[in-house]
Amino acid sequence: MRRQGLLSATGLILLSLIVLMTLHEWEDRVPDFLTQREDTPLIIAEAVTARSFTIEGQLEYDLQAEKLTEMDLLGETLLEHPRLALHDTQRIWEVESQAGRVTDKGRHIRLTGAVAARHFGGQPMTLHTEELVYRSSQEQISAPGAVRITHPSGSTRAGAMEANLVTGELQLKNRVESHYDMPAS
Amino acid sequence: APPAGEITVRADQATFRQQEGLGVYQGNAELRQGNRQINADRIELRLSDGAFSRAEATGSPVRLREGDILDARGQVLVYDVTSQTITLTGDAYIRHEGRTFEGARVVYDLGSRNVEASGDGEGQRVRLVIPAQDTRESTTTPEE
Repeated sequence: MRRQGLLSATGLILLSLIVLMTLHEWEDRVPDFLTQREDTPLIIAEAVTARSFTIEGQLEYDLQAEKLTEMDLLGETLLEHPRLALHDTQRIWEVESQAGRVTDKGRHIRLTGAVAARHFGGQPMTLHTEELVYRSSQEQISAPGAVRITHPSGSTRAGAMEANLVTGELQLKNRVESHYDMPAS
Repeated sequence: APPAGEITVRADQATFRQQEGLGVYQGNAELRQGNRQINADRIELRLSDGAFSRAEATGSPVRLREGDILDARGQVLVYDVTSQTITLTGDAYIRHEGRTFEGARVVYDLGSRNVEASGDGEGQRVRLVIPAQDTRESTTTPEE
């Protein structure tokens, strides 16, 4: 078999493989502080109460949670068993759920898991769903999925919901069905 | 079937204005109560003191049926719970136990089952049609 020099084709392939492996090995050894992992929480706090105010200094919402985890690099805050009370001069909605996620500097709150919301304006009403999103800049809460609402003299189901926190108007979509008890005549 | 008293309302979408006790149902709107059924484009339900008090339906036309004793239509239908009446306006028509009533405005009393039709004083007069063999007489005096 003819002797092949170091730089023969086989040699070149072997050499490049060795170089690649060395580089790969080196990359793993880069010191941790240069590549902080994104999923490292900055703060973990328990039994937390937080309040958010409008520019005019008006209370916008107060938020309580059994546990709060601040994910600084991701720009989000994770909540366990949050209770969110929304205010517009007075408390108008109170929402509880299993989990929550706050993003966009507190302007976007997504609540998930057995979400229960109570409306305090006008006639009392409660709403149950699996996901509720609060957008403070639009003064709106919305449920992208099925909702079940209990309201005076009845209940209503719908495929999605949006509520305007200023006007108090609720838009129900994707087929709506309501049941009303009749007053005794 | 839901209890006679309970009212079921269905539609493509709805808007609730809690402060005013108002629910507006739009798109293939339907209201059912026992064997009474209203179909319309839009049904507006009003609650007073938390209780259902009034429904106003609009459509082209609104249809009202109650089993096979009542079939009615009009551009607007108002169901007033307090007075227990259903009022149809705008080319209103009711066929009730075989008799038909047409006029600008027709009122059906849910308690007495009476029908009252009225014109609009301008052009639309009342038209009442009683079939030759009136079903009510045949049921009351079969031997004649």
